[in-house]
Amino acid sequence: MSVKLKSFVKTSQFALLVLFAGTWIVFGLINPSIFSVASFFSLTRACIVPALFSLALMLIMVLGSFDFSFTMVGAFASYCSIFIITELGLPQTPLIVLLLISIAIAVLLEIVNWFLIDKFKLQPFITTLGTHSMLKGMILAFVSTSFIYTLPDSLRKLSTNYLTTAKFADGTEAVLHIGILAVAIMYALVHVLLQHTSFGRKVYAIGANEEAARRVGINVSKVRFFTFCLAGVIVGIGGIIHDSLARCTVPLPPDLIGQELTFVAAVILGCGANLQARGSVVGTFIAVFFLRFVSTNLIMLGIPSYWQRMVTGCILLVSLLAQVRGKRAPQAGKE
Amino acid sequence: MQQESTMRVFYRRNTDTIRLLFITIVIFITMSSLSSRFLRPNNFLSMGFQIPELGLYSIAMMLVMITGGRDLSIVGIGNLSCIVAALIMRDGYAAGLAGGAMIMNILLGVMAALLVGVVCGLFNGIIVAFTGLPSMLVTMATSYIFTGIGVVLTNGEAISKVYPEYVYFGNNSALGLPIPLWFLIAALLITWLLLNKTRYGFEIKMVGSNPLASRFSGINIHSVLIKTYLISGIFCAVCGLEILARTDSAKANYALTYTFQAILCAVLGATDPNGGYGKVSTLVLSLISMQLLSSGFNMLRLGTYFKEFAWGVLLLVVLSANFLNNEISRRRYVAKMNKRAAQEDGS
Repeated sequence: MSVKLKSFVKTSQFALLVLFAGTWIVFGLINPSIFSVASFFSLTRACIVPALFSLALMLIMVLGSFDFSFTMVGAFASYCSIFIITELGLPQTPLIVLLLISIAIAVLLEIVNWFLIDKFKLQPFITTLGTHSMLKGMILAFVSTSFIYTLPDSLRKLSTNYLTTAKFADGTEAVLHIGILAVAIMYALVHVLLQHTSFGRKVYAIGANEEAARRVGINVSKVRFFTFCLAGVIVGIGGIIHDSLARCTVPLPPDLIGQELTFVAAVILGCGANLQARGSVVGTFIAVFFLRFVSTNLIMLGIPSYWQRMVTGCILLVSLLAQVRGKRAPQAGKE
Repeated sequence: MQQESTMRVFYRRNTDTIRLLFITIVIFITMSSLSSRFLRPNNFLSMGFQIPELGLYSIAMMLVMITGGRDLSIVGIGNLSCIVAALIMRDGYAAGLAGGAMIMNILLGVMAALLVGVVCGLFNGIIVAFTGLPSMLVTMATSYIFTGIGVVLTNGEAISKVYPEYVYFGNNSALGLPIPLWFLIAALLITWLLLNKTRYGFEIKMVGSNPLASRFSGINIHSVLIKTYLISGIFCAVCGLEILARTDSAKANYALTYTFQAILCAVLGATDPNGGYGKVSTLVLSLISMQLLSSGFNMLRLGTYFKEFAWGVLLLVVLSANFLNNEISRRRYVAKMNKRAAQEDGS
């Protein structure tokens, strides 16, 4: 155990954890309520959705690919599944059916991405930018533009399902939402998959050098297919949980669409950077909490909300620069 | 070997231009038959005012794409320089400057905006060139920083009311064409000269197609990359000035979708997203066809949602068509070579 601990101390994930703890203490000294359990619970609630979406993006970035459309895929899948259920007039639909419909749609959309990227050898970024725009137009032009406020019963129940509650000093109640269990399960699963199975090793191998991976006999196309499907599953679940927490569903949720950079920042900060095989499940998890913690508490420290965009950009740029190690051959900034 | 006729050589060298010209004509005929108002001179005049913004951003994107990178911060740079110019000119206008002082103030605003473009471009270029990080991630981060600075400078509000004399440039015509269009034409000419008549133009294509080989052949990759991002930044600043002149306002989050449209326009204009190839003539044609489509959609009252959907599909179709086209010609070539080898074996 101690050997494992020692090797963990050397990783950049540990450095990130130290940075997080340091920020926590500094912010906490200025505003003591940050130290309370209730504050932690509300932070956790705010992190559930970003954590799931960042995990999906991380998987694809470990593969050496990129997905710009994953938020749109999640939003599309969850909106469509709830829209279908509402149109059919089946508010009693169990949660599992909703999840399955959403996952099916999300996986289908990610397979489209996979097909274009893998079979047509198109640039991942530009391709997914195209699917992002296509889905955005599609949901508004062909599905619906209306907001759905009466969610199916199972989702409404889910939104008020807590593990435990805690109180702030002034009596406001904060809750530990059950969605955090989904996050824990998904992260544990992906961690085991990436670190302890041959499939996970293949994903890293493709991300490091696709041609080399192909030469040692890895079926690149197949591994990529399953990775994109897995990302689809995660965003499908993430979309439903997002709608449940928001207590309504909208075609283009403003905290997902257009916020891709915060997810990218989390993955890079957690060392999934450079579009190379350096993704870390633990790192992404810490980074999501760190970024959310900074952005929620900047307001409490009296910094106006319009600084947030700049602060996120600076954090991302610094974390990018911090990962440049040694002198590398110039790659002309290619993807 | 047979000598190829001049016509065939011309056709082979300009296949992409001819193909795109054909597409543009088809779009033009379709749109004019679908809507009777399409052919009115007013429609073309308003297109002339709309095209320069996208055109300038597309040039900026194309140059970076030739090096194999992406510049996602173009709109951020454009809006930031627009804001800086607007802040200077608004204060001058509010102070009631006139005559020579006004001209000096406008010049100051223009110079400041161009300076912003230069600084932002240099910032992008230096980071991309010296760290070797993917330009997409770097410019994604800097776009947040540039837009963030813009938001902080304006408190998130729109800046408006600059000199009517300055706004005149964005809303009037000279020699029969809208003045912004003249700027676009000048920018396109400069780009054409840069790409085809200078040493830099040769180097940028070399770096884009093979960075390692061009380094070994003695090209200073760092300087080429920095120059590219710098020039791209200046074009963005010009675009920011044009937006200020046309709308008489500056806003930090104005038209963020231009990033996507610029990528679409560059890719549609036969720029290779892997780097190494880009052409001004095809860029012009793709600009025209995109503007025709956009105005046509507006006239058919299809709405912005449908437009967004159509852009996405168009991008995917163009990319797939390019891939399939290359694949077919590659297979044909391989088959030809195999046949030749078999013949030689036979004899």
